[in-house]
Amino acid sequence: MESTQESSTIKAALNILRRAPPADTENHLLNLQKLLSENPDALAELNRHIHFPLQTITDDGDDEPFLACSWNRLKDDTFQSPFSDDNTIQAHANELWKTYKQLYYGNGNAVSSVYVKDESENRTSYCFLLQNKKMDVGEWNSAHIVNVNPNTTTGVTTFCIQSNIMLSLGGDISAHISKETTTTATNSITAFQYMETIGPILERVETELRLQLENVHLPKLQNVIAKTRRKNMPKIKTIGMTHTDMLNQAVLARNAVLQKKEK
Amino acid sequence: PGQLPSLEEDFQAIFAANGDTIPEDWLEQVRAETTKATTSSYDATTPKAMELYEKLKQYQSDFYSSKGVVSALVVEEKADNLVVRTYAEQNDTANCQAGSWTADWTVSSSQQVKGTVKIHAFCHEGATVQLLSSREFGPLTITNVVTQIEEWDQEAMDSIREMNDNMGDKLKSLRRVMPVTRTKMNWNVEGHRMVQLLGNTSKK
Repeated sequence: MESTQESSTIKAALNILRRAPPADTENHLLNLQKLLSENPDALAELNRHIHFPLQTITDDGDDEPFLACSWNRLKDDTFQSPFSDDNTIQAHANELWKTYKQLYYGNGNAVSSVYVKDESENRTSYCFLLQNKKMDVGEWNSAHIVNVNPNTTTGVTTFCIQSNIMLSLGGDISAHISKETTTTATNSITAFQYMETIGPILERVETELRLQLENVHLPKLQNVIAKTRRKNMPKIKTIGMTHTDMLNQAVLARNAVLQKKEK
Repeated sequence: PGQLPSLEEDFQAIFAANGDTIPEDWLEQVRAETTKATTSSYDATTPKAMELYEKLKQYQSDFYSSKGVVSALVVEEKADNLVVRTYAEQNDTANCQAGSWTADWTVSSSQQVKGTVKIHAFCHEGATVQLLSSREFGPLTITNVVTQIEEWDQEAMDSIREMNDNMGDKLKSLRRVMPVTRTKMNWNVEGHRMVQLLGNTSKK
């Protein structure tokens, strides 16, 4: 019963955040956290669903900046760097994700980070983060959470991917889109080979969601405004419409004559 | 616009998690503000206010009376100025879309006009997208208030259209559809290391 109420509370909180301008997510999230402060379980569950906003952090010991979100937050409210761990799988994933970043986001302001957690003996979770900020243009943020679950009984490894993109353009437009994807591979692949399965999916999903935003969702805003403010034009009869009217009247008149004759 | 009933339900669920309910006076205040936004009124004691009200009513009928659009107009006199608010909203629940156009104008006794136009659009089907734009106009001394308001509203409309036209370029500069190489990424790390090694060797 408790978990049903918790899930309806989280659903309600996410609905509220969905209606707020995505650029104000941080502010609204703080207020929702205050409202849920007496319910630590619901609060923890809410924080697990929220990945934005992403912060860029530059540590003195690191050459490159890295991204922070609830996923790599430590108990003392600092953030784990993706470079400080001895985790070779994490280092390998960061290397590939950086190359991907350079191909699609350029070598300018974009920042990429990957975090890998061993959830249990077999299960691993990945968090892929990307941010590109450009002055006078906007900001792109993506967060992909990947849960890898090898099943020794079936011999199949399942990859569950939750992708989220938050975009702001020109200070006036903001957007949030998400997608869940699941794929499988045989258990014969090693943890170092996971990226060969995960990477192409993230690449495909990011491109797909980007195109959906550009071609489907963002143009709707213009349509909404055009429907709200639209000049009423007086109906002007064209020559074609006049001829159609005359033909219609002629046909109706002939039908009336024919019906009279039949009677 | 049109989201209040759903928001009430969601807030009710959050307060219920704490064994509480939404404060009724706060809810009444929010409902009253929502109703006020779509209620027209004018200052009947001032002939100037009444005259401007009638002209702006015609303007709203010309631009904000499409199917599904609800509009409101307020004209009041405050300290020798006429304070005007024109409001229109469109709520298409079936298509998960809503929008509003709010313009606040001040007309001084010397016919100086200034104001702000706020445009809001919200779509939440498949993705959540919002447009929140605010533009300020004036002050400008004019003879025909309604004509000037129409011009400024149109300017705000044109800026939205321009924003829409430039959206593709902005998105492209944040994230390309394809890499510059026109080929997708090779996700084999050994391949990348080989390329890097070859690159470093050739530089030497």
